Amino acid sequence: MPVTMEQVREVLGAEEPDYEFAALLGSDALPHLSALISQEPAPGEGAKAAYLVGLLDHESVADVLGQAARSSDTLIRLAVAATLPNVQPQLRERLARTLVADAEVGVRKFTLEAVATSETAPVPDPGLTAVIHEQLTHETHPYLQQLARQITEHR
Amino acid sequence: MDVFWVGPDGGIGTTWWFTGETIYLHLRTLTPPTSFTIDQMLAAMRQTYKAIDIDVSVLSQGSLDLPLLTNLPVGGCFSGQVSTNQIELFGHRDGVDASDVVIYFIQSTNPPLNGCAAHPPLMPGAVVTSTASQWTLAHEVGHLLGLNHVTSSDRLMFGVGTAGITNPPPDIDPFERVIVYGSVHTR
Repeated sequence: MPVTMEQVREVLGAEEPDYEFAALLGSDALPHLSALISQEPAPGEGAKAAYLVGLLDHESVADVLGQAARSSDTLIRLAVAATLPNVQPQLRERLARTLVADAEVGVRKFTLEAVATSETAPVPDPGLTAVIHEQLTHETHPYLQQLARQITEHR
Repeated sequence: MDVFWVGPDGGIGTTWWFTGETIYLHLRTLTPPTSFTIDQMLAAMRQTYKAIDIDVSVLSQGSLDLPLLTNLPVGGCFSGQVSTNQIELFGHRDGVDASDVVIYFIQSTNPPLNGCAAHPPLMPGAVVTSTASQWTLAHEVGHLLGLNHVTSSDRLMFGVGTAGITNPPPDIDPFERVIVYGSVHTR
């Protein structure tokens, strides 16, 4: 039976959504999640949708998260950064390249923590290393400087 | 309870006579909520708990400049399982009584939730995120008082989301009332 928008909104509407349970909706939920990210009918729903996309396994996850990473909504970009540990290493590094220089400190924090603690891609993205190295010159928070340094030293 | 009286002129009036207990809150704002104001959330909470003779008293209010903690990792938001960031945030109690509840208004959680009542031992509190509904504060405090999710959309602890509460203000049933009165956070 196809997944409906109503089912998706019901699992994400909870005060504390159970994302493992929500992921059981599977990749059929992706068109609805993509619509929630772009239209956000209720406050915070786009962010919850973006996080859930990272838990799904489908070729269009990269496109949906790629667009979400460039959203003008800070909460959606925060959710993409939050879901980085859940995605494939190659996609994580590609998304991190966009998010690591984000204006919002929380996005940078989640991104650097994800890159520092998750498995590195088989072929580490040289673009990401360069962006993090560049970011080190602008970063004002000592904890984020430390994370950035730790990443560049190990790549 | 509502007390009805007859005045010297024969007029009939009603007075709210408080005979119950009180929940004492301390509010700390890292990022203000955007969907509803803190005052609206407090009004909604008072309206909900008044039905079971519980008053809500705010003992202190202030802001915290903690940009690295306003987007807070909370894991699965399970009681007794907290992140190092949660321990750090909930450590900002400023000498608050151990039985009082501290509410932290933050920008978001990781993963995205409306709120989370998981807290380190001996630091009772909850976080409420910027997109919370008007009932989220009352709901998270409900968890702190020992209440679990229910399936009825008429009730405060509706598990499918307080934004979907029907027939507001949401109810706290007689069994839940007993739990609330037995909590160390009401007196």
